[in-house]
Amino acid sequence: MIKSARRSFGLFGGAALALLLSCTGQVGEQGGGAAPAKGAGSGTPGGKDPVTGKDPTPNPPAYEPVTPRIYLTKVKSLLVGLAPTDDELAAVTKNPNALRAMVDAWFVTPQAQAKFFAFFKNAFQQTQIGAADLTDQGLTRLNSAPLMVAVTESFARTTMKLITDGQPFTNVLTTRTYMMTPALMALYLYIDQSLRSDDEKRSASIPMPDGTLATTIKAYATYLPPATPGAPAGVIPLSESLDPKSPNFLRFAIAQPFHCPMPMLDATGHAIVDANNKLMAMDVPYNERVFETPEGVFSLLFGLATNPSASTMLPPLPVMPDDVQPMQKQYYQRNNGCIGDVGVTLAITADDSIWRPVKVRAPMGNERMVPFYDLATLRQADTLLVRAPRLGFFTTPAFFANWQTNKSNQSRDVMNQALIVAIGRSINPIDSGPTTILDTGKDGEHSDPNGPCYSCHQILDPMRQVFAKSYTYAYRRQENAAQRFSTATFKMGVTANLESLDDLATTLANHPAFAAAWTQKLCYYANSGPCGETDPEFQRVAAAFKDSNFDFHTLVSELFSSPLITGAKVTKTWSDQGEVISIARQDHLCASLTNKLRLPTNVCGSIANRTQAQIVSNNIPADGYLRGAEGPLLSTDATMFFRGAAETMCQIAADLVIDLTKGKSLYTSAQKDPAITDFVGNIMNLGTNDPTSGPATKILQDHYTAAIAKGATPTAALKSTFVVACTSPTSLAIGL
Amino acid sequence: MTKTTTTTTTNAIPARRNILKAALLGPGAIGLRALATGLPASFLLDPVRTARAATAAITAPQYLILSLSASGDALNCNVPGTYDLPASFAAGSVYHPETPEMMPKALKLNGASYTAASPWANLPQNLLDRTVFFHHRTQTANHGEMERVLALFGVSRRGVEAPSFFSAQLATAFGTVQPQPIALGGETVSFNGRYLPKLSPTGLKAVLASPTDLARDLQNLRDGSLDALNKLFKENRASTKPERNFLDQLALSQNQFRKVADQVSTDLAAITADNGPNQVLAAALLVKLNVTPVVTIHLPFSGDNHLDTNWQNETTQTVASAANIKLLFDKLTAYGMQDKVSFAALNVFGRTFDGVGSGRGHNPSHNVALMIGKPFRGGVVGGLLPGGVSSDLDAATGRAMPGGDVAAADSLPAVAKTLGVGIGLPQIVVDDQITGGKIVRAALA
Repeated sequence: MIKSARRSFGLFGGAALALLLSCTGQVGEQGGGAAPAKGAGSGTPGGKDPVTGKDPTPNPPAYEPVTPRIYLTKVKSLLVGLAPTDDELAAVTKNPNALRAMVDAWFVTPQAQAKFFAFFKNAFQQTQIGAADLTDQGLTRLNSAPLMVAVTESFARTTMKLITDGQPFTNVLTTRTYMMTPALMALYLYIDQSLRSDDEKRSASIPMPDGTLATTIKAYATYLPPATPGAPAGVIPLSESLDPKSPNFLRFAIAQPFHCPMPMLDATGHAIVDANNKLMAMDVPYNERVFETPEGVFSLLFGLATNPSASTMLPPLPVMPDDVQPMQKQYYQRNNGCIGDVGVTLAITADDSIWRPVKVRAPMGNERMVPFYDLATLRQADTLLVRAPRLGFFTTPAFFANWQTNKSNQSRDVMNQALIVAIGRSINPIDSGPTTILDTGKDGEHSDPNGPCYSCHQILDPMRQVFAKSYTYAYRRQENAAQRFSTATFKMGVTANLESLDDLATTLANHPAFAAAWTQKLCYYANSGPCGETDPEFQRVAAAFKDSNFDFHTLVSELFSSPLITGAKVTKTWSDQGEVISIARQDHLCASLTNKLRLPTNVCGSIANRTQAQIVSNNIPADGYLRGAEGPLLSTDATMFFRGAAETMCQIAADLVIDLTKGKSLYTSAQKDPAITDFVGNIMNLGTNDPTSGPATKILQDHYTAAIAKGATPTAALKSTFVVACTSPTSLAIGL
Repeated sequence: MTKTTTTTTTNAIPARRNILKAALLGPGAIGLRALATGLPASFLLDPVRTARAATAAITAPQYLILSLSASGDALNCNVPGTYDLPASFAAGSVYHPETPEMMPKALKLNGASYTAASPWANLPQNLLDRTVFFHHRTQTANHGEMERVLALFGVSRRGVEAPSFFSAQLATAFGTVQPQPIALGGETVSFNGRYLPKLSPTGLKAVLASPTDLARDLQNLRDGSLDALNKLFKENRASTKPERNFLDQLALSQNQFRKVADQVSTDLAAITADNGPNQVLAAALLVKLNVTPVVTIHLPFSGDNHLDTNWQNETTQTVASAANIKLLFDKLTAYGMQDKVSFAALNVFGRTFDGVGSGRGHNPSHNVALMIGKPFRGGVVGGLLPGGVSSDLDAATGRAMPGGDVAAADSLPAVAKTLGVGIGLPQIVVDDQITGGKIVRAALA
């Protein structure tokens, strides 16, 4: 139950915190005192810069209105990654209010949906993980790329569905219906059915057809030799593998036998070595591995035969003669080549990657749960029964993989990150007082009562206990009664008892900071920096979002047509922080090229050349998030490495659309003039009525001519001309 | 008459407001004057000193390769100053790994005898004589506060992170391609309030490969065409100063990129991965090419090792990172830059000394920073007190001294100040930027 808001959270966002933090040093040094927020504006706050020693600049920077062609390009690029049309520019130039309807219409386009999908993956902190990050949740070596994709995409897809269905955006906290694939459903069940307590005790609890719960499991990966040489290996239908009554229950056929490197022996039984004293080995095949842990079975199902259980019948080891030298004894022992991981193709089909909404809830009464391996049932299911709570963004495997916990952290991290995502607030030591006296490094109750750690624990520890009540440190369901029946309290702006994660979800959904937090996240997305939370225009947009029953479409329409984003009129945000021109980071640049070039798949996700892919992924910054940071991680500067990588990116794009040897080319050197015209309008965002369109076209034409003169083929010359257009400042910037 | 009692809650809000109010309206209303004039408060308080700071010359600049860790590594647990402890330390209160690779070993720092884990003792003597182990405390146990540590928790004016402060100052002295640090793995750093992209050695290698023959000719043509476009947009599209600045920045980055790519040759071939050895090779190359004065890398000494059974991670990573420090200076020596580059390491916090065989917890009260290079006098600064906390210290001698003139709470800015002066920044500049702590002269050669 929420008691009361003790103060307005609107006054308490990141900017205010930054202001206060800066006060610790020299208050007022930059005319307002706020330390520049990360990703904040390029307008240098006033005062003689103590870092560079440069001359003072006006403070705040004088507001300069942004022209319609600049802000229209910015807004349309952000939302759909396309160039504005001449008609759109004419309409906005004539009446700036026309932008609102355009934003409204753009929001429902597939291009915008794709861009917000990427935004939500970051905003809900569901990315930035690899397979190793699922170790705590029971998967030490996930070998299924589609499943990993499902883990990271599920909640963004869920959010898109909520928006499409017209649900209030606050449901991102309370929803129990997730977009899932059958493979992801199996993962949820696996996590639910393989337990790991806080004191590291592991066990299984796997539902059986008779309603009992099995604590053991045994599965087989079996090679069935072909009936005739050269024929394919035998198969076991999945229906038999999943039928408890079948003799093939939990026996999965594999296409190739396993192999065991064994020493070659001479007639006396001694291992034979080559001229370099290296063991000479031969492969001995064997047909079956046995798995007796839930993880072994799950991994097998999803493509990896791991270290088999001891009951596997491996080829017998050779008998070691008595006179073997000590250094050679290893030749007679089992080696990892025999029992190491082997990739296999088993039960997964394309069906297991099909997305659909699935209600995830606890079983009621005598409802039968499904064992994690029963993909056949999961492919038909629209409800998933699990015993640990799953609701909102903050209980997904991806969120937990991002924010792992342990006996020392005790769920503090995951709680703090949930606050950051939901209401844009992080708990910091300063939240409870300015003292600088510290403890001795002990946690919680052992902290010095006079220290900031103690104060922090006072707020965070009662709150994070709501996770400890439901989950162990390995994010399995909590069965420890002392934890389950402990108390938890929310204390941040509002106070509420937290009996369960439902209470946390409700508290956050009703929190006064929710609307401002999500308005602010979109500000960051659009401006690469925060809006001022005391800015009346910001407060108007946040209020409109709230008043629309948290309709995300309304928020986007209000914000992206607002001077907070366009800079068309002066706002406190722009007066305080100035205009930010940012590089087009990965998501923006990739989406823009993909959409403008009408490519079927994202250009950045399908780079075949490994070096090129590395150049792009390493040097074109992506949007991200940091542990403990209220604002996102956004790089805005056009560094030389960005410049180099953007050139590579544009060369990749050129190869995909110009003079293709297979398929239809978007541009051909035989039609170079229309191509160059499109480069200017479509790639460089310069409509025909733009005063720079003509001169820009001439620069590209001259480039093409000069390239031919240098000996380039027409194809190479047109590709080089495309790269000029693609690396043009208007193509690489957001806000230019 | 009824007396009204005002109840003060423990919450921060009133405290913060009071702080702000006091700062703005306090003696001389310096805060308000600063707000009104746009001049730094320090300028108003001491304009002559601030002006001097702005013009002070850098005489012996050093490039800085700085290892950062938000994991809170156990660098503090196995270095000189944590062995041979007096009887005031309860038996068993300070544990070191008992792995063979980490066995205690005697070493000398500038002639003084100490004990440390073997990886430190195994460093070459010429390197040890330039190595400072600076015991301090960062006063946080929060992984997420690396940035605040780098900003010295408000002691660095305007929240400027130390690497950015150093980089901006040194860039002019070296005439580097860019004034920003390069984050080459590991932690996120910012410059002028903006996050810098995190790069990788292999990413640098790939992007810096230059084309040849016709591709090179076309690239030159493109540069010319883009210069023309920049000029066009600056004159006919950009209507605001930030828009024009961005165009300038993009043009500059193009020139910078070509300049650096032209100089890169066989050195890039040595880079094969993104791990510690490759980070130090890439960092050495970047300073050799004069790309930036400051490169941040990540050399781990344990990671977040709560569950580090028998301290295996601590052992493996300490051995590897000590070896990588040696590799760095070997490479710098090969470049003839061993006297022009300093290495430092700074973690968000240290780790606790207890918990035999089962990992270590967070320790906000003891940490160790490394400083290695020609400007530094090998030795131990500060020290450890019973309870696993750092001591106050004496700035003149560098010795741990309860009640010394550098309180333990001020030891983090003391680290930054000492490092700043060590890499060549004038004291007046350092004192102007970092408003707390003291320079520990004993750490300087």
